[in-house]
Amino acid sequence: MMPALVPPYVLRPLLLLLGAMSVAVALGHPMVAATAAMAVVAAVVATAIVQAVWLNRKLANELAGGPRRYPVRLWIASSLPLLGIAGAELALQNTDIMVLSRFAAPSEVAMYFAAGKTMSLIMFVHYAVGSAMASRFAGLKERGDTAGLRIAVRDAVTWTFWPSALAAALILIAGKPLLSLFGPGFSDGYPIMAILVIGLLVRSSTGPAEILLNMMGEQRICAAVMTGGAVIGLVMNLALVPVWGATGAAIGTATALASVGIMNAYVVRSRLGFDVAFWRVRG
Amino acid sequence: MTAVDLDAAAAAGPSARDRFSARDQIGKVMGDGGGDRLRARRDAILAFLVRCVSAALLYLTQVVMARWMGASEYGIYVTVWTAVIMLGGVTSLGLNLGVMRLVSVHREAGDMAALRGLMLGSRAIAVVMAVGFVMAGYAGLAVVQMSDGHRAAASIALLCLPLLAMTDMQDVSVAGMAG
Repeated sequence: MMPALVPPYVLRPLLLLLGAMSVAVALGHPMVAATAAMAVVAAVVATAIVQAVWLNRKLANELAGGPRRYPVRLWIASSLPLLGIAGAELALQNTDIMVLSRFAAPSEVAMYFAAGKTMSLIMFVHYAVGSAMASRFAGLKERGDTAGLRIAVRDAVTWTFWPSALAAALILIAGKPLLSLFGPGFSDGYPIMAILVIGLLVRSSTGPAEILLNMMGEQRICAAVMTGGAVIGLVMNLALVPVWGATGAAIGTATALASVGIMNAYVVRSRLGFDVAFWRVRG
Repeated sequence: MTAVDLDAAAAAGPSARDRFSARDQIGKVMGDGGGDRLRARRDAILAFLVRCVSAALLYLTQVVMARWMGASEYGIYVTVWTAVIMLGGVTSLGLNLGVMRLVSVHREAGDMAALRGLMLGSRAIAVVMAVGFVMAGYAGLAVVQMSDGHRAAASIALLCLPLLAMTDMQDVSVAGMAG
């Protein structure tokens, strides 16, 4: 697991950083987006090759040689449903940038991006708790231990919400200095962080509800919730961005994120028969 | 919420991939002895730390890029890169998410030929599909109105797609084989 993660998660950003810097120094180039794109291409190529060599060596060890079979139809049929969830998640995360860039100047997009990126660092908690709890949820389900499952869910929600809230407070306190790292004018994005945090916290107040739903075999309804959230985000962004620019994008996205949280809470309650929302599981 | 990168998205939130992989890990966690469980926990902590370091590096990268290019060019760059990431997430038709489960399906069936095929075929499918998306992307660039700066950056960044898709597939292949 460990070396597997290194190429994409560490190597590419490092290569990008170093590559971009060295290109900048070497060429004394006017630094524009196209130059940055070239640095990214170089970083992606280098990462892919390093990882391919490493993986092939590992596979040669583990699988040895032998005939290959390609049941492509089975592969695609079993994967295609997952495309819907992936697409909805991508839309939920990126609609704001795509819509904003159609209606606002690039510098406003940059400001929004920096603010959103900074604030979404709190999603780390969500991820950590989610992946830690996933197998516990599944194990309890396997054993039919409903009472244990309720306790595990309550723990997961508590361990998601409070650390998220704490992280949000710290990031908001450090917000303006963090944003000004990006350059002059970026700290104007502070209100965007303050809006986005509401959506992010509502979503984390239902803990890792999506993981719970998937573990309980409710992938379809989970996909429906994600798609609903993505549609809300798209509609809200299209309605608000032309009027309020980056602020509109933040309101639209926060609404979409909060909707996903609230819908998840409702779905868990109606499908699994217990509460997952932070405000209901206390005590 | 915005993602710089597929990596950033995966690091920041519970990605679909993590949700599906966890299900395949169940048997491992439940069935194996204490040593394996300890190792699984250690791996999970290490994986989390790698993601933390990675997120910090990505954040730093973004800061440097923004300062280096200035807000206006940086805004163009993040728009183009976001579009590429969105395309990159769908080029593999979900196979990047399905590989985890397919590895255990083939392995449980003892179908090593299919497993070997999957390790090669999934990457081939990813690259071929991505090349198609690159061509569609160029067709899109010819039709959609945008600034010259956006167009120049997008026509370069699109070239990432095939190897980005391959990296993504390799990432899940390794995790699937380990799980």
